[in-house]
Amino acid sequence: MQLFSTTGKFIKKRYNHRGPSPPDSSIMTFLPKKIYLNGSDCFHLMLEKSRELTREGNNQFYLCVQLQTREALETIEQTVQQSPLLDWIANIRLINPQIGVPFFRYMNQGNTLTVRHHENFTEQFPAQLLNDTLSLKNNSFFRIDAYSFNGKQYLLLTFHHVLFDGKGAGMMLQHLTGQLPVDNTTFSSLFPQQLKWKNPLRQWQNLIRVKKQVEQTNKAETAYLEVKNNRETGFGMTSHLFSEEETAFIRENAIKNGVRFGLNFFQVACIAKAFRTVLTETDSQWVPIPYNGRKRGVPGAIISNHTSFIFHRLNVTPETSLREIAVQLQQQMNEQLKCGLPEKYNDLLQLMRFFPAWFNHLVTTQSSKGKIASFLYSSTEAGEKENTELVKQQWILPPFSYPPGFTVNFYTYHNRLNFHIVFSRKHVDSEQINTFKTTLIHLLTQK
Amino acid sequence: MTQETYESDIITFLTNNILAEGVVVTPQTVLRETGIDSYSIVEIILFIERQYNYVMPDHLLKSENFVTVATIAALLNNRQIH
Repeated sequence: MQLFSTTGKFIKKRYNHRGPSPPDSSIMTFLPKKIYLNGSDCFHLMLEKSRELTREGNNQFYLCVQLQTREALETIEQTVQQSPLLDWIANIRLINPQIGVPFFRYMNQGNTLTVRHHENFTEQFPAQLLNDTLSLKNNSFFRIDAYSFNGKQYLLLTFHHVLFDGKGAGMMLQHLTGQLPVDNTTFSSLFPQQLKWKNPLRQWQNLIRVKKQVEQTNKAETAYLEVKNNRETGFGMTSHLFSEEETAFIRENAIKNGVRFGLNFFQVACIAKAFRTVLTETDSQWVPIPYNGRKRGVPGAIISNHTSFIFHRLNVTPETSLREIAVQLQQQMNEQLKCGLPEKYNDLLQLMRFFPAWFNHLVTTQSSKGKIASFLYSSTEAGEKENTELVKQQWILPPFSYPPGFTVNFYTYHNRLNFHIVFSRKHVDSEQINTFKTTLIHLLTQK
Repeated sequence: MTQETYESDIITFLTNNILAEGVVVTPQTVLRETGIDSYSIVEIILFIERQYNYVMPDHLLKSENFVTVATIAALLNNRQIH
């Protein structure tokens, strides 16, 4: 199953750099001239339209990296200067016609991407950088900031979600730290492959199947966060890093609660329980959970989104146990995987490519009454190929997605689990978020 | 059915549905090293359920039983013996 499209046309790159250290042009590098957005990318274009209309949140996410030493920054900066991949990103334009499929066009204008250096910050995740929005109008898709906090060196990588997903972000860090070298044999595999033709009738059948699934799971009486304070604006963020011992205990706890493979369902169960206990009084929750659509066994494309979703409707009362929630999650996932729902959902998204973002926004908000989910969830585990000589710890910070204005992201690096919660201040106040966080930690680690 | 038949069926399923083109898996390949994650393991379990009409009992659903294709095939083979 190939989900991602390009024209397949590659051009031989002519370097035209104004920077001091251009990429190594001795490597025969071939860069794609034109890459069409896939359905999942167009979904994020639609979210961008939503952001424009609501003037809330953003559609970018972050990878925050604590480096082992200050010298590590120099090594990474060398890669930044010499990377043909970053050169490509710095020189693309998003072409978004009213009629026709949007695409990225490589312009080869000699733009360079550099690391922005900052003075000391008093926050580990500086609000000043997080609120600095990448602009599609300026064709700004990726940014690297270096700063220190508490005497330690940090990097903040900011990714626009139209061009990257979480897995691609992890691979980008591997590339920057020398674990994913780019040469003429691997380069083309870092870009999405040509979309395979599918029978339109089958695509429409799949669309109807997914629509039915979404309507069944996202029906009335679903828990959403109400607006509590119209005077408050913007997003808040809170995080927690578990120790290695605590992470090992959480893994055991997941197994005790009937979750066999990985931590995903245990984490979602704990969030759902804490969400019901602290933030809402409605028992039914609608939770789409991301599903990695990449084929396994190769690094896969860094560029573009490859994520599908599995939709869960959970019945969570104050008395429902974590094990019971995990069983609901497992059963619903099994049913959807059996009928290939993630693939069908991608077919639905592919249709978004042929309509302008405003139209997709209109249709989506009409059918779901403007709701995206009770809360958003994502989880990533760093791969085996992390460069621990350069990188000490890393965190993924999710986008400030609105709606629903509440996202929890889990990330495991170096056997240590961490989570980030981003929340709309209109919906959740500081006291509530503290109670939610404490409850979530308690549920994850309770004996 | 033999252990080898189970192994061959699972490898065919992985090659056609989970793995990228050209990725080679042997019965002894450690699945995690090829990027097979928890979702993919669940997909393998669902494939076994469909293919052999066998619902794997809860006590066998341990990560150590899903390290390689050979360990998964051994579960199925032992089921026949018992």
